[in-house]
Amino acid sequence: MSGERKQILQQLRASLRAQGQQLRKMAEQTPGPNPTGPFVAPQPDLTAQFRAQLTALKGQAYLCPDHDAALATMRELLISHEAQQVLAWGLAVIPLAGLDQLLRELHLTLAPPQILGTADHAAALARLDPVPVGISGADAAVAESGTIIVVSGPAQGRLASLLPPVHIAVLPHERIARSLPDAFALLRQRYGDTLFRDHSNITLITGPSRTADIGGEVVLGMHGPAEVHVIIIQG
Amino acid sequence: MAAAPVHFYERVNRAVNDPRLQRALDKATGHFILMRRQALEEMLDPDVVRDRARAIRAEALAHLDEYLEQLAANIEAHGGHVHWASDGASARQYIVDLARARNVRTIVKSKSMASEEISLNAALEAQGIHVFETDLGEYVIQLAGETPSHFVAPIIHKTTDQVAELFVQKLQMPPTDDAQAIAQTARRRLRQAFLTADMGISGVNFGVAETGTVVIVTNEGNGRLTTSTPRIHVALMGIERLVPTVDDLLVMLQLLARSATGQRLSAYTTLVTGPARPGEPDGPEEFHLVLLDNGRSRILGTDYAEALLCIRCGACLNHCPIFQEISGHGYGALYSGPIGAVLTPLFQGINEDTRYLPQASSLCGACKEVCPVRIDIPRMLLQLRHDTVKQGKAPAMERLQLALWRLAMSSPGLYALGGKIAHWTLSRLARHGRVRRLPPPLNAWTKSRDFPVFAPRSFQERWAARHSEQQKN
Amino acid sequence: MANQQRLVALFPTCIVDMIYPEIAEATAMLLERAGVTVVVPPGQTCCGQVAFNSGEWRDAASIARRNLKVLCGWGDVVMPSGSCAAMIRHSYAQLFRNDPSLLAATHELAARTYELTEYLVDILGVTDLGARFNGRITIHDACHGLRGLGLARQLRLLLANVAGAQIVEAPEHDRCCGFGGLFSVKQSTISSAMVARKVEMLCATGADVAVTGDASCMTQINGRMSRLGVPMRVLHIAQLLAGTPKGALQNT
Repeated sequence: MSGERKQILQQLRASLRAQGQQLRKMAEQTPGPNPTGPFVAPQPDLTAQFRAQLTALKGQAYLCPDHDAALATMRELLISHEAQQVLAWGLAVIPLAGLDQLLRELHLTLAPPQILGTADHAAALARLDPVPVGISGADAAVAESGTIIVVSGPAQGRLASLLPPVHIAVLPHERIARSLPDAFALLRQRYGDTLFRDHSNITLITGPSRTADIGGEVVLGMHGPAEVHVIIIQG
Repeated sequence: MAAAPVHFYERVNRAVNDPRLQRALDKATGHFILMRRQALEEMLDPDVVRDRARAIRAEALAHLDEYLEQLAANIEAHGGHVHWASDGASARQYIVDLARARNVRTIVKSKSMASEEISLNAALEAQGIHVFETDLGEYVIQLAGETPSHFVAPIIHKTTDQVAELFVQKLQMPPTDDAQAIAQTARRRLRQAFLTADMGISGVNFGVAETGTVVIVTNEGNGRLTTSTPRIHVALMGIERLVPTVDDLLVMLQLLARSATGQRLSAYTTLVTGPARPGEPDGPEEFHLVLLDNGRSRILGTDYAEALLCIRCGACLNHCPIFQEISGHGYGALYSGPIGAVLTPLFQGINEDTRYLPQASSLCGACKEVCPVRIDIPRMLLQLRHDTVKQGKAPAMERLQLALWRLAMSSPGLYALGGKIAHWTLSRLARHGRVRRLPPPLNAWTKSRDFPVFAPRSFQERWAARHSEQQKN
Repeated sequence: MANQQRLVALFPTCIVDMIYPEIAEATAMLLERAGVTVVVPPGQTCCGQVAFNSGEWRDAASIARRNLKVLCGWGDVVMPSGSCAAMIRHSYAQLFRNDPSLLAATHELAARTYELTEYLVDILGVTDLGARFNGRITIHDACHGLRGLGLARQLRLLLANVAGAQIVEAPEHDRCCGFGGLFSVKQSTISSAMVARKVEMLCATGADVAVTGDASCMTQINGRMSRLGVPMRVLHIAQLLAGTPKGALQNT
């Protein structure tokens, strides 16, 4: 154990001998369990609530009855953004059947997502800089806040939902939970014990990147995507 | 009655007499206040959530030693490194040594108050390392060579045209008053930094002991990029910023953004658990957590332990009528506003440079009312004022004046005499029943306000004259 | 207990006692109108908050100890000030937290200490005192009463029954006026800025008068209003309910 570590722990223990009882009393004033939501008035339809929240934040949500409709929406988005390259999760993990065929049909190339282990880290990143669109799945979503949750993994890079100015996420409707605790329950169901052990990053994305630092005016797309499009597959 | 250093009064005067600043402050704090109120009003049970949030943070502090050990063990199990820094020098040294050992030339930083507390940037720049603040407000501050005026919204004191002026000057931006264009200028400049930086340094909003996770909350996305593109991620965390479990974290997240800006959640909440895992295509190869003590473990053992519950939402700043007049710059301390007036003398000790901070309050209690974890700031401000007296740090003149006042209040005879003297003096000073000029030190009142004349006979005198007999139950 | 038999001790508070005795007289009048008998324990001075707020807790404790004696055995103690009531109810216990011999007496006194409006409404159950005021009234919520004692509702209930009055809420009605005791002098620049803003908000309502529960706030706000020469003034709630005596406005 390092000297400083020991020193800090010793000081903490000494301090807690003096104040620990007071703090424990404070903690016991409101014992668990933790509230798990809903935290705001729930709308009966989770998807509708999610969509309303995301739209209010200037994100876009598309309700698609099936994979075909979702593909059609994806096609339209890719064409309207004049994308020639996309930075995407592994197509096998994006829950949209037929996506690989669509990309081939549109002659879209997949930007190489691999940064780690490449000979020139900076060059690998530079290659991704001009890519206009990123495509990912969504591991869960929160209706109350219009949030989608992305977990990092071997075929699930962080940068797909971060570097390009346009982010398209595919979200099966059954992954939409009411509240944030409910969404984490869904994540635990899907990933089990591995959720934090084997995945270095979990990000809650609530609408586009924004800043209000300049005279209080909201500007979208500060460092992250200015556009967030969530394709919700209902069927 | 000059209890504060001259520079404080100078800053206060400048702030109060600066119409541009006043307009900017009004706009920003007014907006935050309105948004927070709406966000809390739409919650079904905000008090339940706040009570539980306070208990969660108290639990974290009550066993802080154990939870920190759990956090560290989990991070190390995931392949991360943990440095326990007893003070700022140790934290700085670790990070500087790491940067040198890894040949770091460029660093990107997302917001970290702790890094400013320990003057980290200067230490890195002294090594010839370029450090880019990436939070837009902090970037502006860095370019301007200023200090932040609010820890959630660092350039709350600047208008749009002031930012534009700065960018024209420092970044050769074509003149514009379009916020979008201004932001894009910064985005382009900083994007290059993100893509080429060797190291990313972030703050930590919450550490989660259960999983070895550090949580970074931003709206801009710089928190994500800082911790994803560079090869090395260094997270700097005050040791008190812990929650025991992930479920506890999710409770805190219900309140942080709502209290700060009125958002249900900020745009990005990123949970980082160690470095990239084998197989992941991107993310840092190395993860280092620097745990910063710097006086926190000592404060934990005092009557002021409650101050460590703070989650740095900034609500107390926004609602403080003093902050709204002078902004963070007025306070002249890194941690400003109500919580800063408590933390600064705790961190630095009560001395001539800090003793005025707990005095810069009318004790109105608005801060306590809005704190998501219900920190009793007024209690601690009063306690600090008492400690100032106890430590012999209160100005002698003030002590004398209060001693005289106590004398008068302890004896009905002296009290009555004092009243008569006041009546006599003030009637002579009065014009049309009002006193427009009091002698020093009370002339500070009459600079801007009239003062009433004391009554010729006190209520007790009048009552006694009218009632010759008192009835006691 | 029928109101007629109830004895209520009036604690005038030093500011009211010395500067605005008519407020204490109005307070006594209102309590009598509400059906209680008012007594005034002799030899009262101050609640001690000036010393307490300055960190001089030894001085504050000596004044508090004196008050424990002066107010011992007098039944309910009522005062026309939220800040003084809060001092006695909350801060005396803080002063004597390590003094078990005094703590019992402190809690006993705290349990029977009240601010005027809460006593009238919550204890005596009286909201109509037969008051009349032809005009528009706005409100400044004094901080210590508001946040320390939860006062706000009681004042408004009482005002709602003032015949002829129209109540207009001011923007930022619960924002501090900047008095804060010695803060008003030690940090006079900030205090002045705060009261200037308060005056602006009150005047913006177009009301004829403003009403508040603390004479300290009244002094601060009237001081600025008077200096500015605006027609509006602040009255203490007791003055307004008891009927404004001719002299009251002159003393501001």
